[in-house]
Amino acid sequence: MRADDDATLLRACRDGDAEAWELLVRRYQRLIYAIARRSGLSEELAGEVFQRVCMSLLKYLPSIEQPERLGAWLATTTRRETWRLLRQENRVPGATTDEEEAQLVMDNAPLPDEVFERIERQATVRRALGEIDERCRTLLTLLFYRAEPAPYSEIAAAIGVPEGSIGPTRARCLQKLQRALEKYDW
Amino acid sequence: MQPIPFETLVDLAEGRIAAAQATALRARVAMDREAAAMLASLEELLGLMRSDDSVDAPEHMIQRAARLMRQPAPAAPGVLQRVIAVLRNDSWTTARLAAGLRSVQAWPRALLLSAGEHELDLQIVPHGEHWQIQGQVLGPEGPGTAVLSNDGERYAAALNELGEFALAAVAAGRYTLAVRQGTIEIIVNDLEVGPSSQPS
Repeated sequence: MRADDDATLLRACRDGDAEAWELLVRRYQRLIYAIARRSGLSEELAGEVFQRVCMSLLKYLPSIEQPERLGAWLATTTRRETWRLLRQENRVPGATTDEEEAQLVMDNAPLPDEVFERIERQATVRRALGEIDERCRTLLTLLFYRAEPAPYSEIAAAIGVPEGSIGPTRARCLQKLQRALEKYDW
Repeated sequence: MQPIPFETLVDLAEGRIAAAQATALRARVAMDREAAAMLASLEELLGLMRSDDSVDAPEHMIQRAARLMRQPAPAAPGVLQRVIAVLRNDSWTTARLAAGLRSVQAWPRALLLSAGEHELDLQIVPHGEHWQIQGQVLGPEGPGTAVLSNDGERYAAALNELGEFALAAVAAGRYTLAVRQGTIEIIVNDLEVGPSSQPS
């Protein structure tokens, strides 16, 4: 799989590269879906928001000037499209201008700001996790992405190191993750 | 004072240190600005990972979005491919299902139709006694035209560089919409425009 950064993928998308487009969609699918679902939408309605957000991205590909802000742009667009869908259901107030709508999205968003920001940061951590080596990725996933952390014996078997070295390895892996996060203005 | 090892800070952030020892360690950390910042960063990072219960979007959603930019199968030069559009989503139906109501007629009404490798996004907007159809072809871009017609009437509009178009407002009735882009012509049959508008 290509590991191009967002700027490279966006340029390729502007040239009609369908593979680059699919990579972008796959890169951000979890973020978009998480915001829609955490806003209380059913799977079906979240799917509608998902499609609308991707259509917006396709529409605005030529005008996205800050590729490094693509994740934030998608998160905000997802929030807005969620609000619009809820507006159609008359579950939130209407707006007559873009400015008014922007304010209403902020004031009436079904997702509180702190939850919205948390989802964005979680997505960034996952993105950075995907950029570090596989052994560290496996270790950190087993330790921190499970409801119950995996025992060291299981982790040791999974990554092929002695159980006694899991503690120091875990610390090194977290340092790698922190370094990977630096380029996202962490 | 000896600096606190990073691994110890990780143990503390992770909660692997016994309570009494952790209290003493935190007091030490509080006096070391660098260690305090690192501990706060680690605690936030671990908290974000541990609380992340997000899941992947269903594969069919991802593939549907991925198809928005898929190139059409090459057609023989000069041969027009006519594709009948199929309704994928209707904001009235979606809103009705979501709200559990008998009828929801919020304007503008949004319709999403699939036509082969293309998708057609339509909005029906009331204009006094008339209705305007605005739309966008999603997929491969290029110039084109949209033509709305019924018996004896014909309204045309050009697609802009984003595949968007806006037709003149028309009276309520049943129309055929033909959107042509390159060698593809997307046909929306029996598009009912008006208070109960819906394509059949």
